[in-house]
Amino acid sequence: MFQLDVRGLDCPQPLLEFKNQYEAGGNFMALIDSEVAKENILRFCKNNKIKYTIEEGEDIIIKVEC
Amino acid sequence: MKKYIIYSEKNNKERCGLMKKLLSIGIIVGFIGAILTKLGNPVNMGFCIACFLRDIAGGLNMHQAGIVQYLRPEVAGLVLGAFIIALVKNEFKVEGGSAPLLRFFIAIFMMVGAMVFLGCPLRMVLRIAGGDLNAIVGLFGFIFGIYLGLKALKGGFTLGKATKQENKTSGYIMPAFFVMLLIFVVVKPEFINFSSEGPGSFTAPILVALGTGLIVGILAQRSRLCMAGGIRDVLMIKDFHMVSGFIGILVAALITNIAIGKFNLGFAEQNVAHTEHIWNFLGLALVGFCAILLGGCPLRQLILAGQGNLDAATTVLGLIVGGAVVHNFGTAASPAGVPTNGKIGVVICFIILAVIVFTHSKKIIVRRDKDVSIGR
Repeated sequence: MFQLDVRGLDCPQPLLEFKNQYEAGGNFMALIDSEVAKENILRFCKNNKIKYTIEEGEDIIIKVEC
Repeated sequence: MKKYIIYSEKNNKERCGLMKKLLSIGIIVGFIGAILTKLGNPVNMGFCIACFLRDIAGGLNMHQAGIVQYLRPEVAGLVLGAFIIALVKNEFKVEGGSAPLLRFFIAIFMMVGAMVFLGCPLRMVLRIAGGDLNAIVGLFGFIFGIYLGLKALKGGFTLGKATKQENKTSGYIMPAFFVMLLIFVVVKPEFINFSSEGPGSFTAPILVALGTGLIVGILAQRSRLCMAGGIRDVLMIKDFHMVSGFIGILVAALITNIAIGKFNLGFAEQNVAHTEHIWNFLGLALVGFCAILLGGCPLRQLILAGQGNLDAATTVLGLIVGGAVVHNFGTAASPAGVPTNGKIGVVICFIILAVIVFTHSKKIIVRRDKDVSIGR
């Protein structure tokens, strides 16, 4: 599975990368380390009806399986 | 580790709730911004991050413009409010190291733009709410700047990744710095300047200024309020959630201004403003552009600096130095208009930013396990 590592990036780059990857298609997982990026990405998922799973540990992992 | 599965559906109720929350936070911020003018701050400048940081630079003797020197306690309140709530909510994270020097200079450029327009994006909203139509010209410039910034990001621009710092000491430096400024405001040592006339002499009582700053700092940290972020989300993903905070500020400040008799519609004779449309437009375009490259408007940078972000702290220091530079180099506008140095300054900043964007658009961001080469 593609791993999209957006940890440490400034707003809005995590969302932008997530969006680009989603639009490119295929399954992928995104590694996130900030609450803001998580909120932005989850909002994007909800607005676009994207199915995802989320694991919250030290880093947050959001998986998208189409 | 928490793990849960969500099958996402568009949840209008949840969205409305979020928007209402941001709208109400915007309303509180807008009300505070307007009421502070009643309590002593300059008209249409209840809250202006750029102006206040410029005043702080003056207070610290970094520039000699006698009318704009005061260690605004509102700014200290913002940083400390964000610091406290981040500690409480376990969001105090010390990280940094993403192109600090570049951030420092981009922050100076942001200040050059802000001082040609005469205000940060927050003051732009408060100026519109005070009936200052020049600020609407500025708003269009701001949107244009954000558009340019998004183009840069889509082209692959990045300042790179911040890394987590094992040692948390550096995260406490900015809050401590602003506590020091608060002590200076109270003790008034001789090496600190206090304006006796001009905008710098219009001040709200220290406790009121600090208290309102704390409230706005806490609200802004929780809501991630960002003047650039709202417009950015609309342009980027057609998400109107964040822009509702912006609208809340506008509406609340407008109503408050009308109620306290500080509403004055028109272009001419606005407080601390000029009518040179091109430069109002380009000034805030520069601010918007820088805000997207830096990851947030001046307000957001202060909040991030409070919650341990060292890159935002570098940006804040750049803004303070920028506040000194614009007066020492004579680029700051005044109600009389934009000086030639200011016009040249804005153009030079745009040129340098263009060079930075083109040379920094390396695709280094993503690492994928199946794609061995770094980037796309």
